[in-house]
Amino acid sequence: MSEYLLQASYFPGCTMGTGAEESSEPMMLALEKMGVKLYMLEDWNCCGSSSGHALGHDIATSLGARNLSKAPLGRPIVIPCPNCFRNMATARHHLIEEPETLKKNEAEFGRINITDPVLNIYDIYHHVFNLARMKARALPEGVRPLTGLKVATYYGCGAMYPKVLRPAGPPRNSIERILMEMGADVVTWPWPNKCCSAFVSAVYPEIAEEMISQIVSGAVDQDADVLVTSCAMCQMNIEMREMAMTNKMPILHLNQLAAIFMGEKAKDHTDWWKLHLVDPTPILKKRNLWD
Amino acid sequence: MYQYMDYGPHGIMRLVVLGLKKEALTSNTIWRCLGCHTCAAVCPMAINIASVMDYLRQECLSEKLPVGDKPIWEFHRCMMNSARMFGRTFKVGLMTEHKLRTLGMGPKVWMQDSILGTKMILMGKLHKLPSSIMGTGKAQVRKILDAAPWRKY
Repeated sequence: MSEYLLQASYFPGCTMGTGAEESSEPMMLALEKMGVKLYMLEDWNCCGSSSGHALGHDIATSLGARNLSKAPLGRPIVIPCPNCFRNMATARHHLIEEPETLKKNEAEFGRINITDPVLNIYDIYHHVFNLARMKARALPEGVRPLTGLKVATYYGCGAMYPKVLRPAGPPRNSIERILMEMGADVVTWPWPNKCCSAFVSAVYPEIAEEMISQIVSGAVDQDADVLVTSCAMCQMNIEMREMAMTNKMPILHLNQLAAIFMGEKAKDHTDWWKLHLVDPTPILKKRNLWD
Repeated sequence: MYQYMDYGPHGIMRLVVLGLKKEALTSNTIWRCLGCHTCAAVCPMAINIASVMDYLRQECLSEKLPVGDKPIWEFHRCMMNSARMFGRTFKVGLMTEHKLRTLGMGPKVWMQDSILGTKMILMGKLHKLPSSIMGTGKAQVRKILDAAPWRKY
């Protein structure tokens, strides 16, 4: 198919770009079937989240500005990592609001793309499912509903965007809606927005273990099969810190479920499941999503 | 995260309101804040607390006051060093540098996560080699990072 529904720039970020192939590969496969073409930004750099903005306001803005300067005009920028999204959107907001900052950064990096929107990955899925529901553009053949899979959705801090960063408002219920559209059973549970302890996990594992045991046991209590998140960092953190617990729960990426929904076979992609510390294959087999 | 902080976000706001600058800047709350914006999202006065915390951290560094939570500051420094070297963060190198910088904290910290980390490297989840940006990009990133107060602390 030559014409695409949407062509977008893609900023992977350090976690997705280096070390979460099990999330970026299914994302590419799912989006390709949905008719979305992503072009990775050339020579992207660290978005400056968590440590960048903690140590200097200008660091975060300039790092974001450099990334935005790599984005060609006329294509929205897709940022799958919620933290990168927040930081790049904040940088973009500052560049729009403060002409002096923009001028200073443009002198350094050349034209900066502040006209095209910055989108999160679930905005794209949402768009595709909305079009399908409105019968404007049908989903391709061979979709496979995730019937029977009980998922607890986990946003982490990705749900807490101020209105200026995301005109649609905080993404409450975004992932839930997408998963319902895919036919999964969405569980109501107490901690979808609880922090995964991000970088504190690397410094104080005991604090992280306490916080994550609350998250995982909350999902276990509601009989969920898997936790689903869109943040690769949260996924890694929770998996690492639940290793000490007795009731472990597999943590899947939203992108993996999207790929399975779009007709990819889980058994063809054992390399994804190998990168999980808690093996999700038994639950996928149990719910008939394996082949 | 609140239960692991000394003052908590509301406490820091109160300290700022009362003008107790030194207490606010040397507390561990400002370092343990993860910037998740939960407090900012629910704040009845619509204060962007996470950004206030960012500002207080930078003030603490530029005034060269003692840092309230040393290991976390060292982590931030290692992360920025990694970004400075490769233009992107390199997790294995970052954690190694952090271990070296916090050697003084005792044997518990030396061994912390080493088994899990090795397992993840062998699985291929953590990359052994850094991914790096090319050409002029590195110099640009380096210039951005060198201008900030953390370099002089």
